[in-house]
This record gives sequence, C-alpha cells and structure tokens, in this order.
Amino acid sequence: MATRSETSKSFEKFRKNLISARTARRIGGVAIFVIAWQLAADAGIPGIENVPKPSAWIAESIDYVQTEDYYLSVLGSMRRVASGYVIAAGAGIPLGLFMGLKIAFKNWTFPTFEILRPVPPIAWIPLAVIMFPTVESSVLFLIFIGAFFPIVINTMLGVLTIPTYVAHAASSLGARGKDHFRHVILPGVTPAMITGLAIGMGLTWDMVVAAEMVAGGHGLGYNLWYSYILLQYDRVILFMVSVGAAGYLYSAVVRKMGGKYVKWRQMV
Amino acid sequence: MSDKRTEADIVGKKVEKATRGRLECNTVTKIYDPLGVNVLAVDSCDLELQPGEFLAICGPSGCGKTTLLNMVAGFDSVTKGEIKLDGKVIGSGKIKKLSPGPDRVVVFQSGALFPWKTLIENVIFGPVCQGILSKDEATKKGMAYLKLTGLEKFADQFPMAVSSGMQRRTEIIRALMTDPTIILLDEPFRAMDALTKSIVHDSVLKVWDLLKVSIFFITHDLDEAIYLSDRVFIMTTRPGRLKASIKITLPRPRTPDMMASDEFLGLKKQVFDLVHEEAVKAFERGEKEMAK
Repeated sequence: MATRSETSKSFEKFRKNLISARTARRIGGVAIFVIAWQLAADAGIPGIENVPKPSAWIAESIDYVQTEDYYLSVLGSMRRVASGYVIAAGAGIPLGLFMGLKIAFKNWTFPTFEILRPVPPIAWIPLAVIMFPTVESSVLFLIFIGAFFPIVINTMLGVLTIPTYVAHAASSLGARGKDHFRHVILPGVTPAMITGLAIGMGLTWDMVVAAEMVAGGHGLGYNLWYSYILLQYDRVILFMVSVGAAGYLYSAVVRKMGGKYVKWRQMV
Repeated sequence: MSDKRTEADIVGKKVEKATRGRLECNTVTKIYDPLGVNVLAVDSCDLELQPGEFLAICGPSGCGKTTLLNMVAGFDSVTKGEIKLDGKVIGSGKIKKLSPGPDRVVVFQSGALFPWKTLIENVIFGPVCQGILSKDEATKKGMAYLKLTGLEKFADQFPMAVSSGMQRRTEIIRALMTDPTIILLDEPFRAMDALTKSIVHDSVLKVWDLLKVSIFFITHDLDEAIYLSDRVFIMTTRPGRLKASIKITLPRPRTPDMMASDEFLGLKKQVFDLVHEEAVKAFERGEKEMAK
C-alpha cells in the first residue's frame, strides 16, 4: 500500500526522470536520427530521396492521426498483440517449467518442439487461415506462435541453469517440494523467463503486421499494406512509425514488470 | 561486540558442553558407476567425530573428500558401510533413498546463498521452511546472529551486493539457524584472500565456541586446517581412506600469532609431509593414466 509520502516520493522521482540528462539524451538521439533523415532526403541521396521526408509525412499525418480510423487501427493491433501474447505466456511458461523439471516429459515433448521451433512464424500463415474459422482467431494464433517458442525455450533453459548447489542448499535447510518450487525454481528461472518474454514480445509485432497484411481486415499491418496499394507513402511511414512506437511501449512494459522481479540481479 | 555475556544473550544460550553431533563412518565405500566404468572413490573409510569436535579433512585433489561429505549430507548414496549420526543410521548400503536434512547442514565451496533473497531472508529460510519458528521470531534470531558477526547493517542487501567474506559468514549463520547437530563445510573459504579469510575464521571460531556444534571441515589449506581444528584427518589419494589422524594440541582460544609458534610449524610439517606423499602418488598415477 502506498502511503501519501510514498506517492509524493514516486511523483518526485517521476518529475526528476522527466527532466534528467538521461531523458534528454534519449529524446536527443531520436531527434538527431530524424534530422539526419531529413538532411539526407534534402541532399538527394539515392534510395532515401524516394522516401517521404519527415517534414512531409509529419505534416500530412497531423489530421489523420486525429481520426477514429487511425485510432481504431492502433487499438485493434494493440489489443490483438496483448491477447495473443497473454495466451502464449499462459501456455508457454508452464510448458517450459515442466520441460525443465521433468526429464521424462522433456524426452516426450522436446524433439517435436525443436522441429517446430525453427519454422519461421510467418510460415504458419497458410495453416492459420485453414485452421481457424474467423480472421480474428487466425491472427491471434499467429501472434501466439510468434511469442510461444522463445518463451518456452528460455523458461526451460532457465530451469536447467539453476545451480545444483543452490537446490542442495535448500534441501539441506529442510526445504520440501513446494518450498523448492516457490523459493528456488521460480525465482531462479525468472531472469531467463523474462528474456524469453521480451524476445517473444518483439516477435508478436512481426506477426501482427504480417498477419494483418495477409488477412487483416483492420489494424496497423492491414492499413500499412492498404496505403501502399493506394500509393499513399506518407501513410506507410506513419503506420511503420506507429508499429514501432506501440512495440516500444509494449516492450517497455515487459521490461518494467520484469525488472521488478529481478532486482537482486541489478545489485552488482 | 564488547563482552561475552552479550554474545551469549544474543543467540539465546551458550552451550557449556557438547552432547550431540557424534558422527561415525564405518567402512564407508562409494563406487561411482558412470557409463558402466566402476570408479572406487572412497574405500572402507573409518572416521569418528566426537560431539562438538572441529575436524578438518585434508587430502590431495580428487581423493574423495567431497564424496564423503556428500554421503554424510545425504546428497549421495553410500555403496557399502554405514554412517551414523548420534547413533541413528543416516546412510548405509541398504538405504537407497537420499535424505538430506537440516540436522547436518552444508556450506558449499562455491557459495550457495539464494541470490534472489536478501541476507536476512536467506538466514531465516531454514527455520521458517521447517515451521520451527515464525517469520518474526526467525528474523529476531537471525538479526542477533548477523549482529554477532558484524553483518546487521547489511541484512537487507542482496548477496551480490556484499563481499565474498560477508556472503560466507551469512551462509554459515544460515546453517546455524536450523540448530544443526553437525555442520559440513566443503572448502568454504577457498576463493578468499588471506585477509578476508582470517576475519571469517575468527567469526567461525567465535560461533563454534558459543554453540559447541560439531564441524566436519574439508580444506586444502593446511594452515587453516591446523589453526581451526581439534584434529586433522588426512585421506589417501583415490580411493580415499584414512591415512593419518593428527591431534591439534594448540590451546584455545586460538589467536593468529599462534601460526608462528614452533608447535604450529611442527604440526604443519607433519601434516604437509603426509599430504604431500599422497599428492605425489596421485600425480604419478595421473601421469601413468595419461601415458596409456
């Protein structure tokens, strides 16, 4: 429970972060990139000269980003990614734990898993289309496929990298099965699991764009492709930037939530 | 810490005379069978440790010291023979199920604090897990122990944020918290610099003096073995068995200046010669095996 002083303290921290050197450098880095892009386009560097200049597409987009159309496509993709990702984590974490903990279970499942894992998630698009009755469910399935494999493999490896002597120490101190799980396995696997969750999150944005391009109906990927067909290159850039920004936001959430559980690692 | 009385108050009691912690190993044998190749690691080893005794085990690398410790701890099965703790059989050729437990708690060479728990959370893990103490009681007791070894200021730090010496002291405290009959130390001071080592040694002796718990202490460092222990048990090269048992007659409490005394140096010479003899054998065998 946050007391008032804690709240004001965290507000103080937020305010400090907002105007810190770190924040200034971050914003400055992005600004330099955009300016360099603008200058390169103005100078007529081959390749880049065909791409809409920042000054042009930003001016073109100001009205459009205020429309319901845009808002719904951003929200649509974000919702799809969130749902597919949560399902992937919900299925992937327990499966990875089981594979790490039960050697017989791993023997049964791991080879199949390893054959499926290198298949690029976009190669699942044809199957996703014939397997599921609605566009929505096939898109969700593809997002799930993108996030699922890295989550499972990292969780499993996380279990295997917990040092034996830490587990021995726990038994030596009188820990039983459920204590082991709660105090050794779960905290021990968390760093690797968070890595898997972060990689999986990155892939979900690959997948939502690919899936929406092929079958979408709405969403950022669909609109990106649709704008291309209509030769609206300003919009193409806008949707690319939107995907990037939404992906950044989601990854930041994963990192932030993950960071809470691995405080002990940042103490070095 | 200012005076003895306070120290005793802190841990609740000063044990006057050790009554428990008698460890007996009778013709204990361990054969490993990796890939069908029988490796005789420990061969009919006899050992007896008196209640409250500080026993150091020395021997060349790979002589089976750690195997012996793992059998006592219950991490490894006994192939033949019998291990008894206070008369109760804790390992024998007939028992196949391993049963590590808090009555003979281990401190490992590589450091096995839970990195995800703060020092105090590590320290209270044993008694809370076993349901012996409530979290509050355990925290109180744990803080007292941490204070005894000068660690109370670091109670809320994670292990990675403190020095290796502090980690090791915390680990020993964690072991003591479960009120063990015997503590098994597996080269716990191996990777420490001399200065840190001497500080940790004194903490160990202080706590040992207070609680009179039996200690089974594996080490390569002969100075440390002699300085800390009541008796040094020297093992032969693989297969490990008893080569010699040397009583350390230095008076207690031990102080670092004793390490320069003639008595200490005499003991060291004696122990060194015995260990060296085995180390040479181990080396020659290694050469032969390499030449095959």
